[in-house]
Amino acid sequence: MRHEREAHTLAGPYAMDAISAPDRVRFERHLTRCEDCAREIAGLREATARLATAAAVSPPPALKARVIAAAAATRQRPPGQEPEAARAPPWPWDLLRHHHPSRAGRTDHVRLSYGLLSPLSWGILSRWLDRALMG
Amino acid sequence: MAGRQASGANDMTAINRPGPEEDAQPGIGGDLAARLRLVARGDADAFDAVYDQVAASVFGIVRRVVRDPAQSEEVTQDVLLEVWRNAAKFDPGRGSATAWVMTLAHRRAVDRVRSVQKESERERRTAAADVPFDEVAEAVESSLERERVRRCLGSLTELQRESVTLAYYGGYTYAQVASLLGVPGGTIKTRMRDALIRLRDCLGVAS
Repeated sequence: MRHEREAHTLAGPYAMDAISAPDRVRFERHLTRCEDCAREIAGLREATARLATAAAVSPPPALKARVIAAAAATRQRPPGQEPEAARAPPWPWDLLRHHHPSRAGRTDHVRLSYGLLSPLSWGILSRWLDRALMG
Repeated sequence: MAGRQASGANDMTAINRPGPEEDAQPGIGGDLAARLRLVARGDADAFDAVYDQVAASVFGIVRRVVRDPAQSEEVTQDVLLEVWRNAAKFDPGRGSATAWVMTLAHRRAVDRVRSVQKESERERRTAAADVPFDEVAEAVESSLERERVRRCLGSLTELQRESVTLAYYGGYTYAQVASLLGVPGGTIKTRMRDALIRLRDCLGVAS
C-alpha cells in the first residue's frame, strides 16, 4: 500500500500537469481505483482552470476563421468510443486471431509458438494439471 | 437545455442562477456546458459561440506556457479543434465545462514545451522564473476575476505560490520545480497539493 500512498501525493502535481509521463499513467491508474482522489482532482482542476482564465489574452482575430474552417473539415468523435490505445492489451489467444499490422513480425513469431503449443501441448498440460491438483 | 444558450440575454440568466454547473463561473460566463452539448451534435453556431467564450483563456494559458506566439496560436488551434472533435466526451458529472477545456489547453501546452524542451530549456528557465505572481495576465478580460485570483495567490505561502506559478504557468514538472527552488521533491509535491486546496477554497469553486 506504500505504492498507493505514494501515488496519492501526486494529486497536486497531476492537477497542474507537473508530472512526468510515466507518473501520469501511474496516477491515472490510481484514479480509477480511488473515487475520493478523482473527486479531489476534479476540485483542484476547478482551481487551476481559474488560473488559466485569469491569464486570458485575446488571440489574433485571424485565428478564429482558421479554427472554424478547420472544424468544418474535421469529423467529430462519437460519444463513448474509446481510442484504440486505451484498451486493455490483448489476451494471448487474441494474437492468434488478430494480426496487428504494426507488430507483424513479432506476431508471426508469437502465432507460430502458440500454434505449436496448441492443441497437442494443451492436452499434455491439462493432464499434468489434473495430476498435480488431484494428487 | 438546448434552447437557453447562445444569446446575451440568456447569458445573464445563466450568470445569475447559482448551481452546481459552472454557469456562474466568473471570467468565462454563459452556459458553456449547454453549448458543448450542442457542439457534440455538430452545431456550428454553438461552436462559434464556444470559440468566443473560451479562445482568450485558452490562448492566454497556452501563451503563458509556450511563450512563442506562432506556436501558441498553433496549440490554441489544436485545443479548439479537440474541443470540437471531443465535445461528446465532456461529462458534466466530472467537473465544469471550463475546467474540461482549460485542462485540455494546459496539457496540450505542456506537451508542446516538453517535446521541444531540449533546445529551449535555457531561455524558458530564465523567463518562467522571472514571472512574479502579480504579473498574472497582462491583458485579462475580466479584471475582477484577475484581482480575485491574484488575491488568492497572495494568500499562499511563498513556497506554495512559487511552486504553483512555476508548475502551472512555467510548465515545469514538480521535480524540475524542486530543483529550481532547491527543495526536496516530496516537499514540493505536498506544497502543490496544499496550495491548490487553498486556492480552490479561496476562489470558492465547487469541489
